[in-house]
Amino acid sequence: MSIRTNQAAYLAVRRQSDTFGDQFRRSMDRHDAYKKNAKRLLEEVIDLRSAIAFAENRDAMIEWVSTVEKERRRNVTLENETRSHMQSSYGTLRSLVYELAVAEIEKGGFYAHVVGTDGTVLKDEDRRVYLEKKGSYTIPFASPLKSFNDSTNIKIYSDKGR
Amino acid sequence: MNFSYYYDLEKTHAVTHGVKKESLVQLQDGRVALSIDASIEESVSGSIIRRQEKSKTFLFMPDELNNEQHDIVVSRILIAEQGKWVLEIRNRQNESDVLTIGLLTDTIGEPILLEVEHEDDYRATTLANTLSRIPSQYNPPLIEQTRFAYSFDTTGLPQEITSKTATYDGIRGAMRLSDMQLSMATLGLSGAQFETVIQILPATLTPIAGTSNIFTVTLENIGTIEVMSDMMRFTGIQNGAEPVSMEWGEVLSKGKLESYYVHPEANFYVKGDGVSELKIGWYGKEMKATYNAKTQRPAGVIVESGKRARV
Repeated sequence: MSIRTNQAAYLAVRRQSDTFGDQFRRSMDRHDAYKKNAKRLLEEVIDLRSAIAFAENRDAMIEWVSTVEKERRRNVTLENETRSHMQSSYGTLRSLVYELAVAEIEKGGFYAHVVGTDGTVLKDEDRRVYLEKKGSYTIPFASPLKSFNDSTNIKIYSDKGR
Repeated sequence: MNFSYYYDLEKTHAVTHGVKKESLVQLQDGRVALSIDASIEESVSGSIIRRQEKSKTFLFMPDELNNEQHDIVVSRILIAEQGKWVLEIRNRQNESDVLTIGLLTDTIGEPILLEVEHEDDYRATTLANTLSRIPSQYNPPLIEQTRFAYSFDTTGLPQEITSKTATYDGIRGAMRLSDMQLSMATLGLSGAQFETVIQILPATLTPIAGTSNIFTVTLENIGTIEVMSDMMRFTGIQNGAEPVSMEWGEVLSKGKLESYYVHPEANFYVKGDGVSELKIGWYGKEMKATYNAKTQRPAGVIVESGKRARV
């Protein structure tokens, strides 16, 4: 039985993909944060190391560097852990999104990019997504079509009276 | 507003379609002119490897209900088998008011993430964001891609060009040099037409010491063109290919060189037809040679001359 013809099955996949979409987004955000931290701490360690030679209290400085270095390693470990978590959750999500896209394109001619969106956007009952203010969001893209047309309507406002 | 398609989860490889409001003004007759800068670029680890851009002004008729909002449809189209991305921006009031740009790429693989980003300082709302089949009547545009273009309007060289001998000639707006190398970050696309045009004017017709060449131009992966006082010769890099040559049939005249220099159609050029034919021209004359467009993908350019030639 295909989810194209069975509404209950279709809805089940939709719910699943929303759940996994949230999960994926969180794992991506976490991974991103650790990656940025690890990079920032690496720069800090390099800076501090070059400062040791000029420090009044070298021992204290060396100890401080090793503390920062420990923190950096912890972040690198977390970066790697969250990467594999992000990859595995993406794998599951992609197959769900793919199923949805196949079903929606066959039924209505198009697939609406909703799965994985966050609080930046507004959604309505027809699964249409609105981005009304500044911001950005990243969502899974799993096109069953090798060649495709991905389309967005944009309203641009005059600034008069503001 | 940017739409980025990523090929990896770490977001290092992307094709980004940019739509930027440049200005929005009300005309005397009440219509609204909305200028948009559009771009498509491919980037890897933060460096742009290909980019195309174009601007257009869309005209909107005043709307009785609400003339403060102007609707455009932004379509990102991928024609996978041609490696062609197309960005199409359409005026919803007038379907024939449309901006189209394209980017050719040899990236294989499918995008796996989509990022929608609106960080610019203007009010805009995106509505429905949908993926669909390319309409069967859709006729993909033929895309012209500029890989490198530079005119020496000011002193200094762009980072793609290296030269040990260049000095700037402010009067002509040219570089005087006897060696020049243009490096490209990417190869030309297999099977695509290409065109290389360089404005060259030899400062002297005396050959490079030890040869009879006035100057030579090497197109990496294609071959070398030697320009002599009596003829021009092309040697391709294909194994066993015979050199092709053409005689000028007259003594090169400095006056003619000067006049050809200012006419782009008589500048030095090499054109590949995307299959097998090369056309090589200089001094208002043209010769034909062959290459294999499938395997010989154009890369950088090297120019050498005895004394300083203007490029």
